[in-house]
Amino acid sequence: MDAPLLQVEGLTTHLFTDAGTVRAVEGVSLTIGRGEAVALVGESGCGKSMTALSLMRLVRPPGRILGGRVEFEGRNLLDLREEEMRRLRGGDIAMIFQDPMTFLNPLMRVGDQIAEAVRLHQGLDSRAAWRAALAALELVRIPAPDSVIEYYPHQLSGGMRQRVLIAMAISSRPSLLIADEPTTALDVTVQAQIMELLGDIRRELGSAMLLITHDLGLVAEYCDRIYVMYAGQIVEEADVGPLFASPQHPYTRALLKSTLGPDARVDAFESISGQPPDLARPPAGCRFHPRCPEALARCAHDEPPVIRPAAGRQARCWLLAQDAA
Amino acid sequence: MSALLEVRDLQVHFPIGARLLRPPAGVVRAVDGVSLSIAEGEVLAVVGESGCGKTTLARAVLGLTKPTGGVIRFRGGDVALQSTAERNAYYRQVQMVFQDPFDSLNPRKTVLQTLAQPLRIHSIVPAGEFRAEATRLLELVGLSPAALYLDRYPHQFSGGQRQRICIARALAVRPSLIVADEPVSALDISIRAQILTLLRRLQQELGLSYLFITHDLGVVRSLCDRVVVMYLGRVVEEGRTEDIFAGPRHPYTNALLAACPLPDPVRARARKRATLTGDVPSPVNPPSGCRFHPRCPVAREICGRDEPAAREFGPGHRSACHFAAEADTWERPAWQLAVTAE
Repeated sequence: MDAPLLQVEGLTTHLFTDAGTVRAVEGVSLTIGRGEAVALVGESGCGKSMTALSLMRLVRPPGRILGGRVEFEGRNLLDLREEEMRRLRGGDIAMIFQDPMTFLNPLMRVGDQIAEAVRLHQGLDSRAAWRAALAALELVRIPAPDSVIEYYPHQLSGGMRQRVLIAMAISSRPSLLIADEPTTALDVTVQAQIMELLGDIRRELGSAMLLITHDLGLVAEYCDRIYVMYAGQIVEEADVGPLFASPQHPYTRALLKSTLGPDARVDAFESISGQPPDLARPPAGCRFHPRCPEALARCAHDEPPVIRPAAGRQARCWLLAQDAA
Repeated sequence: MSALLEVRDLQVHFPIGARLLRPPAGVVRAVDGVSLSIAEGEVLAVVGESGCGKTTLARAVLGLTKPTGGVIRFRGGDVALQSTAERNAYYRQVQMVFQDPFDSLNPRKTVLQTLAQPLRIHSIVPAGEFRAEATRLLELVGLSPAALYLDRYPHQFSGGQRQRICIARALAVRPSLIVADEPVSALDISIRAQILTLLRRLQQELGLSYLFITHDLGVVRSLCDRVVVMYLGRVVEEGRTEDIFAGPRHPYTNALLAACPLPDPVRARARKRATLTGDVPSPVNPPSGCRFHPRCPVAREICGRDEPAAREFGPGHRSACHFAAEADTWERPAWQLAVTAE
């Protein structure tokens, strides 16, 4: 097998706040192959966005990356100089965020913003950059791109703004696209359009995607593999099919039961009790044990091992260790 | 069956661009002729995308926005014609729960103070019993022992706990109708399930009615008896939940159902995607004829010209589409066929 595009090993990022040390990302390991669509799924505060920011080295104080490796195309990003990192961001690795308005300059025309990104990363002159911006807008299927290119962000709807952001992200033909809740702020019918568009573009450019989301419905349809994150740690990894068919970790099972699709049963929403822990004071042992319906005595004090029942599958749970023994 | 709440031809229009001595430049027809009714003990979902008017509808029902036309009747009485005393009684009967539990609690008030206010205003219990009543309310919404919560402030609680406090506050005045505007969409999945379970239990135990505003069809399916689908200020379809999900009669409903993410990789990938093109148009200048026609996959010439009237397709199942009778020939998502076959 080829070397993976991205290989993250033991990534650890803590936030040093007045209220104590928040262990936001605790030894996260994940891999993404070329062209692969991988999901990082979890609830708010589980560390999924902080993981993405750490990969891109965009963690700001009081946060700090404490350790681990982020190997991208053979280089450890954590060792690069800031200048090299800047060239990589928006170049070979591009990001799309939840709220497009935060990342668009309200005072600049759409075309100028995309062209600026293109000039920075590809060293094109302004004429060629403008043409590249137009091509990017066409690629994200914006109707009448030659007029939209002259628009300011406020003249666009939410879905159109997200398309502009995607156009900007893909203008440099990245090999990895990190999408952090890219459709959460959008209506369902527009969400479907954007997800389909991302899929088409990835196929066209051969880009891999790390989709960060809380929505297992999106993952089921648009991703190849999933990492489930809870309280700063990866608790389960699997291909999409096996994960939905036979989830191994009790947290994954609970999440799946709580995810309501349009075909949900009338007696659905069996819920997990309690709430995710404060990461400044995570529980001892397994971090999920206070909420786990299947917890054993040892779960309260011993950290569970990572069990690998099959290739490409892992789960961090004592129940599986018992089965294996 | 007599309706608890009846809304007839409700209109809420907002003038825009008006300045001193200058007439308004246009009118936003946020709610444009909406009729619906909710029976005692019924859960009615109002579904639609942003800008469809569902929140404006809720605000009009709550008396927070003045309708520009139409009638709202509560237990048969026209709310607009009521005396002050009658209207105060109405405002007690109809309570609200909002989307964001962080914005809807006063950060300077303890939970006890928050719950005591409606008890005092509506004279529900004497002042000496506020603490006991607040304790009862907190335990009703699953915050027990209540003593741990009463004297603390909102910032000390998580989103799910705050939403429970908001629900307790709504229940304090013993209402018969709760208007809930996206009450779980700001919450995490595991917490969302807890709050939905709570809302369902309260509805059954207290015989409440809900006007449940949401964009989430999964929630609708598992909580609501009936559904009203709105698009650009109009009701395009309504019916019992099982009828809407098994056989939608409006292409917009069909598209909403098809766009809803399906947490099942096998069926999600097997289905055909009838993705809608474009965004929801502006309600300032709604399209002529059927408002959905520019995005509609089955639109024909008549749709741009004539506004379709609602027609009935089975008990209580109405659709405002010229071609609703052909609904069986529309592209349906695979899961839907499976549901129908059950």
